Formats: sequence, structure tokens, C-alpha cells
Amino acid sequence: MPERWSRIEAALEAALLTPEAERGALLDRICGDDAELRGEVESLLAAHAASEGFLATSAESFAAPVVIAAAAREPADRPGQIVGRYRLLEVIGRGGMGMVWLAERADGQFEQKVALKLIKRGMDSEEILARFLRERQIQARLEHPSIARLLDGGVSDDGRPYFVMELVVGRAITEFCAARRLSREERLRLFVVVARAVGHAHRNLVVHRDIKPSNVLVDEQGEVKLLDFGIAKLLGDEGDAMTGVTGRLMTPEYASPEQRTGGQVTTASDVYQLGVLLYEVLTGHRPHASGAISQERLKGDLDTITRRALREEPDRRYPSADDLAEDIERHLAHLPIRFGGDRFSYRAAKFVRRHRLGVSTTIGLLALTIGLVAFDATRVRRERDRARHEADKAIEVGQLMASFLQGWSPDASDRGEVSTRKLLGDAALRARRELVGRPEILAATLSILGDFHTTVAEWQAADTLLADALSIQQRLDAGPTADLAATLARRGRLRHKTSRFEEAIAALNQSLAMYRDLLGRRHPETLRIQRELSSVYRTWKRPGEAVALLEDILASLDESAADPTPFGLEVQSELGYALYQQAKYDSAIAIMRPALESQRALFGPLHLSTLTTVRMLGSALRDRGDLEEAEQLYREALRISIALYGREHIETVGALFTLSLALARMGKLEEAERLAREFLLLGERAYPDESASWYGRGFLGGILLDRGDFAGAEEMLRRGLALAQRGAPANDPDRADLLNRLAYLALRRGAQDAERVYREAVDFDAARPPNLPDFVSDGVHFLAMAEQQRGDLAAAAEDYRRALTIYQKQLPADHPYRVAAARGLEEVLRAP
Amino acid sequence: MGATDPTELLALSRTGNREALDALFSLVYGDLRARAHRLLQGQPAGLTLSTTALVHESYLKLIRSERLSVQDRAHFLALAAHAMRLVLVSYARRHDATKRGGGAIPLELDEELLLSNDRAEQVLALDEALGRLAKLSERLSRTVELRFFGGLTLEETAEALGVAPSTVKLDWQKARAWLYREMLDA
Repeated sequence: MPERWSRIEAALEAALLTPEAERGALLDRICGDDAELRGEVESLLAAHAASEGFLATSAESFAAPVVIAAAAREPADRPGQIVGRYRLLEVIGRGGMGMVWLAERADGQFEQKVALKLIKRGMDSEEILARFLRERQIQARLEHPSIARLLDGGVSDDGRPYFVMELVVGRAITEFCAARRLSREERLRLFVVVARAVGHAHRNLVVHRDIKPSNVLVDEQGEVKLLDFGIAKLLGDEGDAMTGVTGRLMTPEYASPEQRTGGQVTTASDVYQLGVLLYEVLTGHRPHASGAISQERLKGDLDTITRRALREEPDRRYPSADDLAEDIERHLAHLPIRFGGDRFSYRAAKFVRRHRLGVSTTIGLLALTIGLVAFDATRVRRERDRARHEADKAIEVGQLMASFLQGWSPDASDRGEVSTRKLLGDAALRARRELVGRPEILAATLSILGDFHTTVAEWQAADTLLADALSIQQRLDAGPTADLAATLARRGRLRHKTSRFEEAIAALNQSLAMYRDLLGRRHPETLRIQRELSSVYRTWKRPGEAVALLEDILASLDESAADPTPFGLEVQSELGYALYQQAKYDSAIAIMRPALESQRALFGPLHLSTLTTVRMLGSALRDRGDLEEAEQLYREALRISIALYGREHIETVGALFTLSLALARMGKLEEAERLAREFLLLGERAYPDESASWYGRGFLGGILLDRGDFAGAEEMLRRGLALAQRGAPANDPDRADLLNRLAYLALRRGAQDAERVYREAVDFDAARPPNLPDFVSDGVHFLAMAEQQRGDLAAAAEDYRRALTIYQKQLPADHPYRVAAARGLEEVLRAP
Repeated sequence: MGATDPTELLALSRTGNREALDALFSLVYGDLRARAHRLLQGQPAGLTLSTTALVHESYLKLIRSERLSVQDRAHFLALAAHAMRLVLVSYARRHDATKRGGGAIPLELDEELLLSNDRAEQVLALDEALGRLAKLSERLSRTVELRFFGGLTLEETAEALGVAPSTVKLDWQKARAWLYREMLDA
């Protein structure tokens, strides 16, 4: 034997000293045709590769729990002793961490006996208690017939934390199966109950972390109870807080790989532990170290199912405990299992690798979800009869959403870039799969996911999700509900984003009417929808409707000026902007100035709401002719944008443009030109389409024109026009703008091809759809000038009048354009 | 034999004095147990302990002692590692016995108890496997005893065995692979 061993040892040593790639060749040489020797060496090499962490700590740390447990046998507490509101009756369990007592309420309020787990000294009581208080509400929601409830918890007079649990009399599931000699099918049915209970907890965002036979008890009637749900988390799962022992000799049998390596513990860890439990329930043994189910006891589906649950990589296991339960049920019903092939998990794994969600994005989405839950919870206080139901549902949907979005645990994975879209798409798939049979919850979930899709500009997916949510909600036939109203509002937002204004307004009006019915006119949610509606009107350039809606909101809010809310301030600044759109500059400025001041005080200068108001107030001031002040505000807007977004962001580029525009109007042409060139450079990169390339050229061309650089202007404008003709739709106002400027240029130069440019401008004008926004008006103005120069006075008079009609709505009486157009008309009329 | 000074005991044990070895063993053993007890009796919360610290305290004092020759030191390291193995195995055995017979309640709610059960089993399994390894190679078995049970560094182990550190490193890898496989198959 020792001689044999020395050959093996020598070969093993040689192999260990050889790079892995060359070991095969080395063993060929050493072992020759001694297959047994080779087998030995290879199996030892495999063990070597797998043995990382084995014997890594010293025996003293490793065995410390043994020593401590051995010394901790005598109980310090006595029956009859009071702990919190409970009287201890007798010890029913004991262990290194403390005793479990049978106990009853000391104040006689309840007859029921409970199990009280008294944690012994040495653990950080305050930290445990704080965790318990944080967790208790979630724990309290874990009502499930197969989950032993955590009833209470606190700290005893002498500073030891304790937990009070439902009393369960039964034995470990493995012992139960053995004692009753259950058939394989009976065992599987029992296991399904366990997996379903775990699935229920996961939907409530509680992870067990410590599923093992001694925590899964079965009573005499065969009822299953899971113990200690969430306790592992309460006690902290990093090693052992009492002894500071963290090292592990080798895989504790029930820990998942990520628990062993200190990785992120998620629902996937429970799925793994369920896999271990399943294996043990079926075979009476634990599977060997990770993945290596060496004793071939399970065959076919059950082997596949177990292996799937025991995958090393969390994202290749069953996506949920319910999926695991379902596959076992399918197996029992002789249906093909759903997770048989590897394709799904590969896809999922690939997906996760490809599309990491940045941590901040997830947090943003979760914050959104939580905000929504909080809102829903307030809302329902008004709906007396359905309150309970609604609150439960809102919380459940919020938690579901969080779990769907959390499932991939982005912070556990890595730092790569994200596709929020993919993540959301997958959440929707999971919702559809996991919420079958619960239409109300499914619809609410799809609706929120639809809205998220709108946020990330996945219009098609958003539309499908919202349509599905609507059709379910309408089928439920519950009449107008807050859920239905919310989905309609979300559809309105989507239509708004995709510029289908009429449909947006229709959906939002429907939603608004329902909210008014359900919650009243002054409810914050009603007002939020009303604001959304007003913003559609603003984008659609129908400021009149927007003004009416926004004024109504302000009246409903009835806020004192001394104590404004962020919402009220945003409404004020939007009202200001709508008034500005109506060319009511004085009222616009009068409302926006104090709003801006409050926003600065409330949020500081570096805030998105502040920025928006700065910009809008700047525009109103500019168009009223207060160019100096407008310039200051635009400079501020540019500074804020750079600070918030950086130099190359679309917001910053936009701020650059507006500042340049104001400077151009003020005649500060040199700086205007410099900024316009910067805009052109950055804009071509920042904007998603090419519009900046012709828009910027049109603008820069205009400045060059004003500077008297006609050659430069013409080159710029013709280049812009060529780009616009290639890229912009035929009736795009930008094209008209370029034509107008070229026409104006020709006009100024008396150019040879002036006639052709006029023609083009005129043709464009003729083809112009009737409801294009008014800002093409200066084209009509230029056209009139061209016609005047050509001597077509009748046409010129008509176009001057058209231009003036538009200017009167848009510009103050002393605006230079308006003055010029009026002068032009006068000249034409006075001409002989 | 009434000597209780560890240095003296050590000197005696090196001459093959069985009683001295036993005395040294009970010294280490006693320290370990006292320490464990102290932990459990009314110590202020938050005071954690490492059994390592105490045991090392008692024999590190010795190891650093001027009175020890290099040879003594190597001998002591080996002896203390062996003593530690015996101490821990005896605890594990007692633990195991309590678990099986001694009126323990089957309703185990406690993760630490489960952990200690688990570790007790593993300590016993390792001890047995190490016994089998010793039959194949005494040196590999002693390497594990010194490094794992003795908590010695690679260099200290090399010193205690009188071999080069690179040899210890290789022996350690071989022994671990063999034990790992052995314990998996058990």
C-alpha cells in the first residue's frame, strides 16, 4: 500500500508543479497504461481544485462553536420567570444560541401557548432589536398556513433579545418521511407545500436563508410548518456574531454557494436550499458538495429538477420557488416539466450578463414603486369599504414590483452598463407567468410596468402592457376604479410622449373624471392627473386650455404663499409658461418670479425644477424685451445644466442654444456666434436625430447674416437646407426656417437667384399644413418683404397682415419684428 | 510528578516522559475549557472571544521564552498541535454523545447548535481521515496536524518538521486534496 501511495504521491506532486494545460501530457508519460494510477491522480487533482477554502481556518476557530456548545449545557433561566409579556413554562429546545421555551402570555390576554426563543448573551441586543422593529411589519404580513408566524419580539429585562413564535409540535420533514415510510409521491407532495410557502414569502419579500429539515416540521396530521422565517436575517447572517467565528471547514450542507462565499443572499439562495431539502427528502441523504451529485439516486425529471435548483450560479437556478413547485407538480401529473432544457437559464444568464442594471437606476425605480405604494395607501383611507383590500393590493403590487426588479440583484453582479428595458421586459414576463389567476394584481402590475416602459421610451412595449392592463381591468367589471383610472392616465402619458395629442387628452380626461368621482376634485392624485393633462395642452401649443387647468389646480391647492409645496411651485411655473405661450408676458413673469425664488430657497440652485423655471422665466423676459435679465437667467441655466448634467448633455446643449439666441437678439453677435458654433458641434452628438445639424446651421447662418458675413451665411444656410431636405420631413418647420433665412439673405444681397428662393419659400408656405405652430410666422414676414421688393404690393400687403395677426398674439407691441412688419405694411399701403 | 510550569513540563515530555505530556495536555485543555466557561457566565454582551487567543496565550508565552532552544521550540510546536487535536476531538466526541443520547430535545430551532453539530461531526471525520492518511504518509499527516490543529504558519511548520517551506507547501496541497476526497467519499 505505501509503495503504491508513493507512486501516486510522486505523480500528484509532479502534476501540481506543472501548469494545468500540460498535465495531460505529463500524466501520459508518468502513468503510461496504468489506468488505475492515472485515475487516482486525476481524482486527487480534481479534489485539489475543489478544495479551496477547505482547512483554511485554524482548528481552534473552526471548532469554537463545539467547545462553546459543550460548555453551555445548563440553563440559567427558570420556569415561571417573566420575559417581556410572557411567562416561561418549560424548555422545549436548546442550542448554542439560546433556549427555546414553551411560554404563555403573562397578562392572560391570550390562552394560546407560544414558543419563545431567548437569545443568549453576547449577541448585540440593540442591533437585533432594531432589525426586528424594521422587519416586523413585513414579518407580520407573512400569513400562510404553512409558515409559523413570528408573533412578537423584544429585549428581556437583562438585555437579551427574544422572539416569540407560533408553537409548532412536529418533527423534521426528513424524519417524518422516514418514520411514516412515505412513498416518493407523498414526499413530493409534502415538498411542494414547502416550496409554495417559500414562494409566498418571497412574494412578500422575505427570504428565509436557512431552510433545512430542522426548520421544516410536519405534525401528526401531516401539516407542514416552516419555522424561523426571516430569523436568520434578524440575527445577521455574517458568520457567527457571538464568537466571531467566520471560517468554515467545508461546505455546511445547506448553505448555497453564494452564502459560502459571502455573496449576496437572495431568493435564489432559498431555491438552492430547497434543492438540498428536496434531495434529502427523496433520498434520505444530502447531496455532496456543490453540483456533484455523485450517488446516482435520482433519475429523469427529478434529477433534472434537483440539479436545476442546485446550480452553482444563482441566475441559472429556478427563477422562483414557485417555478420549482410547479415543475414538481407537473412531474406528478406526468406533464413535461417546464425547466427541462437549459435554454431558459442560458438565456437568463446571458441576459443578466449583457444587461446589468446600474444600481442607481434600480434604486430610482424602486423609489418610484415605493412612492406609489405610499400614495396608494393614503388614497385608500378615503375609500372606506374597500380600504383594507386596496391597501393590501397596493402593498402587494409594490412588493411584487420590487421583487421583479430585484430578482437579478444588480449590485451582486457587477458594474457593467444597463439595459433597463430588458430588465423591465423580463419583469413583465415574470408578472404574466407568476400572477396567472390573480387578474387584479396582474393588471395593476402590468400597468405600472407599462408606465416604466414609457419612461424608458419603449413605446411599443408600453402600449401593449397598458392595453393588456386596461382590457383586464375592464373585464373585471368593477366599474370605475382607481386602478383603471391610473392605467388610463398612464396611457395618456404614453400618447403624450408619442405626440398623439388628441388621444392623450381623451385618455387623461377619462382618467381625470374617474379620479374626481372616486377621490374628489382636490385629491392630490386628481390634481396630478390634471397637471399631466395641462402639459399635453402646453406641448400641443394650446395654452388656453392649459392655463384654465393649471389655475384650477392652484385654486384647489389653496396653499399659502409662505408655505409652498414643490408640486404647487411646479404648477405655478408651468402656469407661467402657458401664459408666456399666450404672449401674456407680464402675468407670466409675475407668477414665475416668486415661484423661482421659492424653488431656489427650497431646492437650492442645482435642481431640475429650479432649472426649468429659470429657463421658462428667461424666455418670457426675452420675449417681453427684458433682454439683460433674460441673458442673466440663460447664463444661470447654462451653469446649472453643466453642473447637473455635464457639458455634452442634451440639456446643456439646449441651454447653450437659448443663451446664444438671446445674445443674438441683443446684438451681442460675437459671443452669440461662438456659442452657436459650440452648439452646432455638440448638438450633432447630443441630439438623438440629426435635426441639430440643420437647425444649428440655420441659426448660425442667421447670426452670420446679422454680422454681415453674407458669404459665410449663405454657405451655412445652403448646407443646412441640403441636410434638412435629406433628413427632415417635407413640412418640417425647420426647413421653412432655412428657406426663410435664405430668402431673407437673397433679399439683403439682391442676389441673382433671389426669385428662385422666394418661389421655394412661397411654395413651402402654400404647402404648409394649416395648424403648424406659429413660429414660422417670421417666414411670412420675410415673404412679404420679398414680395414688396419684387413690387407685388397686393401679395405683400396680404402677407404683412398675416404676419401681424400672428405677431399680435405672440409678441409685445414694441417687439422689433412686430414694429418692422407694421412699418412694412404701412409702406406697402402708402405706396402709389 | 508535581511540575506545573509549562517549560518544565515541556522539557520533561521531550525526554519521553508520559506524565509530562499528559500534564501539558491537561494544561492546554484546562485553559481552553475555562475560557469557554467564562464566556458563558455573565460576561458583558459584545465581549467576544477567540479560543485561539487563550490557548495561544498559554503556549506562546512558552514559545517566546528565552529558555527554549530551537529544538525545544520545534518539539513544543508539534506537541501543542497534537494536544490541541486531542482537545478538540474530545470536545467533538462529547458533543456528539450529547446530541445522540443525553436528553437533548429533538426540536432543534437553533442554528448555532446545528452549526456546532455539523462542526463536531467534521472534526471527528477529519480526525479519522487523518489517522488513515498517517498510514500512507506520516509526514503529510503531521503537516496537517501542525497547520490546521496547531494553527502554525507555513514557516513554523517547516521549522517543526525540519523541512523546507516549499516542501511544506506541496505536502499541504497533497494532504488537503487527499483529505478532501476522503471526507467526501466517507
